Order: sequence, then structure tokens, then C-alpha cells
Amino acid sequence: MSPVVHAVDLRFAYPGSGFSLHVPDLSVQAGERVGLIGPSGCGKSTLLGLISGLLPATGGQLHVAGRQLVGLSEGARRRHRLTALGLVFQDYPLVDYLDATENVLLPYRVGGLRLTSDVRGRATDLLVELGLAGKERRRPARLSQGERQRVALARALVTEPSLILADEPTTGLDPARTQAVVDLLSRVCAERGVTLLLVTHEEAVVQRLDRAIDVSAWALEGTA
Amino acid sequence: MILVHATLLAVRYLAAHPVRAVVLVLGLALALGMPAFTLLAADRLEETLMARAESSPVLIGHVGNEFDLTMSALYFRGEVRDPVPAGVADTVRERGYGVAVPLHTGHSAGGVPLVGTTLDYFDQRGLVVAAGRRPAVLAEVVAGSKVAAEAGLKPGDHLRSDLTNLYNLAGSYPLVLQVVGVLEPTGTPDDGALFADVKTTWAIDGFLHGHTAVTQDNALPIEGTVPSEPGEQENLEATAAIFLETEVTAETLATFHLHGDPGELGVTAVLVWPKDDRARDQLLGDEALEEVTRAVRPVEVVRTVLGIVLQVRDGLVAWFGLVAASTLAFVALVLSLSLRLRHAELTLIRRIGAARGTVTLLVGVEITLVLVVALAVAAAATAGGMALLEGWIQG
Repeated sequence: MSPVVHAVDLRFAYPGSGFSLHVPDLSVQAGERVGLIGPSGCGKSTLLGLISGLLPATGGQLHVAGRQLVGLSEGARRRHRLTALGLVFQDYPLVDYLDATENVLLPYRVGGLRLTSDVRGRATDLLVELGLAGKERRRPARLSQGERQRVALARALVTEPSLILADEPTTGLDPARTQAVVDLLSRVCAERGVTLLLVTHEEAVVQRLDRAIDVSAWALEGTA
Repeated sequence: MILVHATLLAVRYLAAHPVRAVVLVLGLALALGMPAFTLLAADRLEETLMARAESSPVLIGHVGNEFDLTMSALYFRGEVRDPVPAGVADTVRERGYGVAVPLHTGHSAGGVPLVGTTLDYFDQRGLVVAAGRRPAVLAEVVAGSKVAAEAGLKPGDHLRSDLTNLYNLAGSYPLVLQVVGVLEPTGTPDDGALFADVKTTWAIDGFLHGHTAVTQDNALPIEGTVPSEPGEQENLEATAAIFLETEVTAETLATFHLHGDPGELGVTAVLVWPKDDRARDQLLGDEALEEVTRAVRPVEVVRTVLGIVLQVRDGLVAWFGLVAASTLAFVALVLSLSLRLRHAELTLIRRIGAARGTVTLLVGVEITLVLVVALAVAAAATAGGMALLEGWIQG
């Protein structure tokens, strides 16, 4: 089975900055739950940005979910991100004027994807599965922090991606909440056979994953 | 497809922030609507005033305020203090200048202007009776189309002329008027007036009167006398408290009479349709007529007035332009602040997978929606204002 993420000699440098990243070899297999770890500023989020296509690699090879991203246009990377990847951001941002269901459907609304009744049904099912039954029409202001996190997770899953990228999803949470979030991410990914790549600097999180990759050795100079 | 989604998101955003949306819409609507209404209203006023003035070639009135004379004789608004003798119309006709029609304005019935004139006025103005007939005898009136529609008047109905002077104890009583016809709409001030023979308005003035039999039905016994038998007129006293109005009936019509020369009685103005331009110029320069009267061309009076109106309009439009510019700056500021507040949301949308153009489209659709609604509100308000103005113009 080919890896979901495979980088060879991957290079990136922020223009005008002394920081650059060189990944000699990275491979994440399908279904794995992998943590990207390292001290602050070592390039964890930058690597996640490269894998998600938000940042363009300057050299090497980067295969993500069956697609070589290096050399792809911004538009092509954007479409790939929309269809093949699910993103969970730090602080779980939601659009405050949309209800839970519409927030889940946001990739379809803003990405130009075809919004069918099947997709709507899937969004509702996801919310129910994540414990939000009866709260589908609520706006974020009327949801608890935990509920907002689950809406954001449903949004990442609604396009049925093969890879979930989570950027420090437990920052600022207490240990119990951290454990609950990681368990939830692990469970929904495992149930769907989705690969999870998660940026963290918390040991408690790493312990609940299959393995961790220390990115700090790949930062060439300076800080991000 | 993306436009549909962008529109839906824009609607949701605006609906979730109603105060902001309403302030933006009203601000833009005011900025767009005020200059539009001012321009349209001024144009409509100019068009209406000029059309009426152009259809009224020469006006003869007392030496004095030409504006008051024109407003009263053409638009039935305001009053003219000094009348001219009705005989001026005969003089104009006799000298062969053209058709001369006396106009007696200033009276009203139920608040509607009552114009005393002759049948020539109907012919010259092209007034056509839609129902009933023209006035033939004293106290008969025809109603303009707007008056008839608003008051529900039809031939056979009765009106009472309004009191002109409450304290004139020895003066005339209100005259009971009979509606004998309704005019077709003309889109002119004639739609908002009642028309009667000039003698009817003189009757309201008290220059023309009739005699009513004093009987036990309408009078009181003279104190200290023996009451007369029913039907007799002796020992009865008619008092001002008894007769509250003057009514012309088939029985009393013959008793109405005029004291003095009708040519000496006053009218507001004499409207003249000269037979040609030469006659018009001669009439305007006829020194014999200029002793107590003055012939004016309404079109010149109106043009002078419009000159002032148009100056005011230009000033207002310039002022509204400044208001519009500051409103647009305010709207731009609100939108700019709004975009700053929404930075996190728009960043999220882009990171999820929206193209740069999509974010621009989202914001653009929101602005377009606000603009479209503001335009609709401005158009509706302008149309409403123009409808009110039209009603005011029509009388």
C-alpha cells in the first residue's frame, strides 16, 4: 500500500526570512495516527502547511493522498485540499452567522463543490454521530466549546477525505478535554480508515497516537 | 453555482447583522434618493407649471403681484386681494383681441376651490363633461375628476360653499350648490376644482340674492303680537338664527337678482386667448386697459419663478451630492471595519479551500445586495414622493 504522505528531499523557505525547512524523507501510511512534534518555531505548522498545500514547496517531492504537490499551481493545490484533505484548525474557528449544519457544509459553499442531498444528509449524520443531534440549527454562539470543536471536526470530515490534518487541536485545553479531543479524533479517523496527522507539542497527546515525528531536526536555520 | 452559494452566504450574513444592514441600506437609500427626488420633482414641477402657463396666453388682473395673480387664476391657489371689474372681459372682446373669460377664485366648498367663470372656459380648456352636463343656472357646479373621485361626487349631489367670513354678521350665508356634472380627467389643476357660473360666486359674495317667504316654518312670532294663522306671513320675524344657508330652488330661482351693473362686479382675473400673436402684443400694450389693470403673460411669470426654483434645486442637488459623498465614505468605512472584524472568518474560508476570487465575490455580493436593496428603497421612496407631489400638483 502506498503511503498517504510521502516526502523526499522536500524543501521550503519563507521569502525574505532566514528560516527554511528540509525534509529528507517522510512517510505516513494510510490509517496511521501520527504526531508532528518539536519545540515552538521548529517548523511543525510549516510542514503541515506544505502537506495541506497552503504553502508551496520550493523543491523535492511531496505526494499527498495520491497527488504530487510540488510544482502544482495554487488553484490545483486548493482543489486537492478541498477534495482529499480535512483540516482542523487551532481554536476550531467557525463562521458565526451560520448554523452548525451550514458550518459543516462550508467547504461546499465556498469551494464550488456540488452540494447534493447526499452531502446534506452526510452533514446531518456527522453531527448526530458526534453528539450534536438536535443542535444542527444552532449558531456557534449557542454551542459550548466542546460542541464547536465537534462541528469543526464534522466540517473536516464532510468531504470524506483520506487524510485529516490537525494543527495543535488541543492548545489551551485542560488534560481531560485534551484527552477527549484526541480520543474523538482518533476514533472518527479509525472508524473511517482516515489517516491523522496532528501537530502538537504535548506529550499527553503523543502518547495516544501511533507514533510521533520530531520536525526540529529538519529546520535548517533561524526560526519560523 | 458559486454565485448561488455566495448569495446565500451574503444573505445569511446580512440577516445575522440586521442593524448594520438596515443602517447601510437607509444611508445609501437617502444618499441616492434625495438628489433623485429633487431632480425629478423639480422637473415635474417645471413641466406642470409651464404646461399650464403655456396654455394660458394672457392674464389680466389688478396692478400688483403678478405671481399671486398667476397662482390664483391658473392653479387656484392663494388669494388676490384686489379684483378687476368683470366688464374688462367685455372690453377685451369688443376690441377684438380674442376670447376673454372672467375667473372668480377664492371661494371653496368643502375645502375644494370653487371657480366662477363662463362656459367659454370649458371650451378653451377643452374640458369635457364625463357625466351629467355643464352648469346652466345659478348654484349649479361641475366637479373636476379628482374632486369627484375623492369626495364621491356625482350629478345630483349637493355641497355647501364654505364660509368666507365668520364675523360678517350681515353678510351672505353658505350657498347650497348642486353638482350637475363631472369632468373627464385632464391632468391639470382643473381636476381639483369645482366650476360654476361667475354669478354663483357673486351670490356667495352677497352681490346676488333672492327672497324667501317668511312663514311659521322658518321664522319666529314677533314678541307681543298675536300669532298669525298657519300659512299667513303676518306678525312673523325672520332672524339670522333661522336661515343657516341660501338655497336656490325652482321656486326661489326667479327671485334671485343682482343689484347694480354686472360689469362693475369684481373677478379675480380675466383670462384671454388672443386670436393671434399680433392681437396678443396689442393687448399687452393696450394703455386703456392699464389704468387699473395689468395684462401679463403667465409663461413669463412662471419662468421667473422657475428660475428661482431651479436655482434652489441646483443648490439642493449640490448639497445632496456632499451628503451622498459623506454617506458613501461612511459606508466604505463601515465595510472596511466590517472586513477587519471578519478577518478570521475570511481567512478560515480561504484555508478551507476557497479561491481568492471567491472571498472577493462573497464580499462583492454582500455590497451588491445592500446596494440593490438601497436602490429599491430609494426608488420606492422617490416614487412615493412623486405620487404625493402629483397629488399636490393636481390640487
